[in-house]
Amino acid sequence: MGSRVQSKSYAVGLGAAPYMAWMLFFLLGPLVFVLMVSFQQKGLWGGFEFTWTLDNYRRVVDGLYLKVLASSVYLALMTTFSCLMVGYPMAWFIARQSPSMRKALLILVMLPFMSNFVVRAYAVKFLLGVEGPLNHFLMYIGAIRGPFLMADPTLAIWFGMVTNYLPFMVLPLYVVFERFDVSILEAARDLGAGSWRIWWRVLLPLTTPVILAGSTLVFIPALGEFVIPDLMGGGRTMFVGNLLADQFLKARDWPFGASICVSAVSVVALFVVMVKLLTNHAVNAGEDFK
Amino acid sequence: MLEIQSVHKSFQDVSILSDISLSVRQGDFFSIVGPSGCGKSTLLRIIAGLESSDEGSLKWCGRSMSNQPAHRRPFNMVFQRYALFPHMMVEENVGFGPSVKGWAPSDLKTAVDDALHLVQMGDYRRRRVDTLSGGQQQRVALARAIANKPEVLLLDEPMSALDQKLRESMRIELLRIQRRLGITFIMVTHDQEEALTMSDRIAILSQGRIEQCGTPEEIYRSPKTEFVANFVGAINHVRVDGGVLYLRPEDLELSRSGFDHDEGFHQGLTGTVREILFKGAVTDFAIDIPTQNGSGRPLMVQKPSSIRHELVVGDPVFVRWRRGAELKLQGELHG
Repeated sequence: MGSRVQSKSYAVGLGAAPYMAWMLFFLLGPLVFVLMVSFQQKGLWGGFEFTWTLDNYRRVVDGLYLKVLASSVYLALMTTFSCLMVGYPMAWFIARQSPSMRKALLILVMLPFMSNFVVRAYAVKFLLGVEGPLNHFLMYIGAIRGPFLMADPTLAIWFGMVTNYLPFMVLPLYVVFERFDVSILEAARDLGAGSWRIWWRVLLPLTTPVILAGSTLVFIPALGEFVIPDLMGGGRTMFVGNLLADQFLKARDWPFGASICVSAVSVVALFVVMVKLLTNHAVNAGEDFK
Repeated sequence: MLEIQSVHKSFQDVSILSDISLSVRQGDFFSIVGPSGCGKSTLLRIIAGLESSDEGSLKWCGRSMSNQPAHRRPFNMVFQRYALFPHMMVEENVGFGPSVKGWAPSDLKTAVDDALHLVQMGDYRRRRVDTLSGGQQQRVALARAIANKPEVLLLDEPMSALDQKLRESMRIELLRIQRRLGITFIMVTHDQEEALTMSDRIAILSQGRIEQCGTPEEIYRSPKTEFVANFVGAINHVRVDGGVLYLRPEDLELSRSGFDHDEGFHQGLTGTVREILFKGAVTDFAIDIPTQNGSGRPLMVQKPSSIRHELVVGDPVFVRWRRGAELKLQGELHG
């Protein structure tokens, strides 16, 4: 018995070997390298000089860059929250359709993945932009006086972010909603609960784990996003993503870029830990709920 | 009295229930029985208010319930797969109804205590429901409905998820609870035996229509249609004098040596034993009767196993039955 269990665990270990090697060389290695670089000095022609220093982090906590970090966290949180607000009812709606309808709607949800992101962003930008047909039309019929919504870069970025990240929220929610035993909600109604009470006391607690999972899937990439702010906002607004890319590609200040990177990763790690704690705390029944 | 009048229901042009009229007396254990897909669950859901009917009315004690939403009806339901709240403890599940209705804390506590005590789950109040066995979950589901002090308890296939042994003890348990509470129980089941043993009255449903409604004895001894006769027990078709008689297997008697003449009995059928099926308490005999036009279907005879017999497969036998034992069906008779 004992030997069988042991040999089985060996086999599992062997199976994980390629994965472990991959992670070691391409994730952990670079990460340690970045961490190390973030404590060095900037080289004269780019790269870095091997001299330990804390200067890069002093610059990070300097007002301007901290503000950039804060606005990135804010954008990521807003994106996550908006995706949740739009995605939750949407996923519920899709899950309650007939099987063929469900399939069709799911394809629609995933359709954005099938076109090139840059092309899509430009299309949206053109359609809704200041010079776009919608804006002209609305001004023509007199619905608006000045340029429309998308003239505001913050709104444009927010719109681009939500559009892009919505599927990451909808898909996990959909999977859970589709298997959700509706008779539980009927039981709640039968016992006298109104719609609000059913949602608050039954549906929400039972779906908290997947809400947190979907939020993680949106928040993490949203924090580092730099293409959407550039394209939709015209590059006028600075976020961690752009700042980081600029340090490496334009300013050629590797150590500072690395320290920003480490800071951003720390924020993400903090977020993941918080979500993990929330998940454990909120509902331990939700996880194994079928 | 619960009165259901001319209820119709269809889903996407497919008729599920047509012209259902029923009355259930207060305090009765009433069963709605039928094969799967006959519309019995839909009927129960219409009573509960979880589904609306296209036509027809529903009255409880003279008050119309048709336009009342589920949570305004004095009915509560025990769901087929219990539908317990998996994120709550047993006592939270049971207290859910009273709590959302805003009962005073002391009333809520009494209701939960009483309900859990009644189903003998008092020791499990702080357990999570997914750590309970099927039978225990079933009791919690029952307690959760009872805690609301409903005037009618609706049970949707309450025992279909339990194993045979548990199901039998749960029948007795349910009857005890029903007598104790003195409220009306309406149970949906596909198990005719369950319905026969537990109910004061039974409605047999087939393809969205009520075939017959009556006491278990009426349903079994005087079925109105062949469907009912077949559904609540086995029947034999016996062709005699150009007509067809419907006979229950337990009403037939067998003898290897033949019977003495007796005016009270119809006799004259002879055949051979095709199969002897020992089922424990009873034994079934399949008898081939050559004169029955060879429909291929043997005559089924059932006897208590306590009655000794020396029959073996292949033996010639005589068959008789008491005159009047045949079932008198109404309407179209089709073999």
